[in-house]
Amino acid sequence: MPGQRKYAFFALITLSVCLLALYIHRHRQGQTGRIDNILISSAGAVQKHLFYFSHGSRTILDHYLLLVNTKRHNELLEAEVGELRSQIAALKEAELENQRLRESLDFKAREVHRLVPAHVVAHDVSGDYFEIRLDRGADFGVEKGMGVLSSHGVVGRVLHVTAHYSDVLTLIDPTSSIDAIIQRSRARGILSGQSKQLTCKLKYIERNDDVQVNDTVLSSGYDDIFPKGLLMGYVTAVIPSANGILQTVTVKSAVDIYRLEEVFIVFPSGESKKTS
Amino acid sequence: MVLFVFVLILMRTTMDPLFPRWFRSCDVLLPIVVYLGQRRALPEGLILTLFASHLYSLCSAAPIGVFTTNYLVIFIVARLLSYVIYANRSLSVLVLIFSLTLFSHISLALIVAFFGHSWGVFTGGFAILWRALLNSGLGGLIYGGLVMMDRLSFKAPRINIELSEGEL
Repeated sequence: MPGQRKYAFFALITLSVCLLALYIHRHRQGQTGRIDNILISSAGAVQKHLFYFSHGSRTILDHYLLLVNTKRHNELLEAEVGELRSQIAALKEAELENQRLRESLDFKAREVHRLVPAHVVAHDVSGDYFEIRLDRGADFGVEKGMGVLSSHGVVGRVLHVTAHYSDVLTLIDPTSSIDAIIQRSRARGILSGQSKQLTCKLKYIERNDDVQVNDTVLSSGYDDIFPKGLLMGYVTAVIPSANGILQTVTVKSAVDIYRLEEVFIVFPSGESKKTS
Repeated sequence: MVLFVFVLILMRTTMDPLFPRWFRSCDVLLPIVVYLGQRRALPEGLILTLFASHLYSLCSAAPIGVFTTNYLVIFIVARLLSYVIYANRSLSVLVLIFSLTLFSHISLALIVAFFGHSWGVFTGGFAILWRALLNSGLGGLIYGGLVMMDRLSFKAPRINIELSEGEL
């Protein structure tokens, strides 16, 4: 590199680093500016159509071409439906009994949340993180921090909101933390993601806590984002540490976030401006 | 070029359902940043890198600034490397992208830690090598596509201009 070019190189790099520092400072609270909102809106509009196209193609492949194991799968599902029907009947009985007991003890009724449906329009661009973009934004009353569910369980919470779109930090993202409990033993921990493996880790579970493989993990309701008792996943591995006081618990999310199409945003009762 | 970056990033965020899950570990921006560092003039490369990495950040859950810093570092490294290794053959492109993927893996973990997050994005073992191999394959195609676009639009690479000026 000749002398002049070397100086130009370092001057430009220094300028970029200064601009970068300013830019990071500006975005430190996770806020987005006007230009960002325009970029997200235009990107979201394109993403919406591209995502429908890719999902449509996938649906055609899955529903019409790749039907090799469908019959066997159908038989398995029929058997499972029969088993679940008998479980539902037993649960209805338990629910009625629970209701009667609550009434007799004068328990406060649980807060009812309103669910607003939304479509997934894009996934995270990076393999290291995992967010999803929804086609509902501030104009629909969506706010940062609201919980997001699917019919199978917890998905995550709203991270950024623009006028027409919102970004959801899923529970398999490494920066996500959701308060959770083991249904059987009531052991409590924080569920955090491992986006590369598309699984989660239940942190801060003590060595003496009773956790077993296939245990169900539910939301604890302590974080004021999700109602108590929502399905989050199932324990797939429990590894007690050799020396420490904690154990490593791996959890498989109940929701297949990779193939997710529709979700519900959890609005505290009476907060949604519009519902579809 | 801006349109190409825009479309490529948006396709990466929407085409997941059509590809197997391992495809998620592909990094579409890295080959573009390497290309900008190697073959484009410094101001042009810097502006495009900052724009592309900002768009990338807006499409990710990572704290804003993490990817911008990481790709700026990669751009600088690719630029400095261009004075030693000028990637103009398939093999050199693949080796360069492979090594810069490994470098990016470490630099990203450090930058994430600097931003106050855990080392959750860092994984060791064969996963990194697998990712680097995958990236060099896909990156080679993207890099090749960009070089082809240059040829079709009669855009001379930076190195040729610098050689003609006798400044290299």
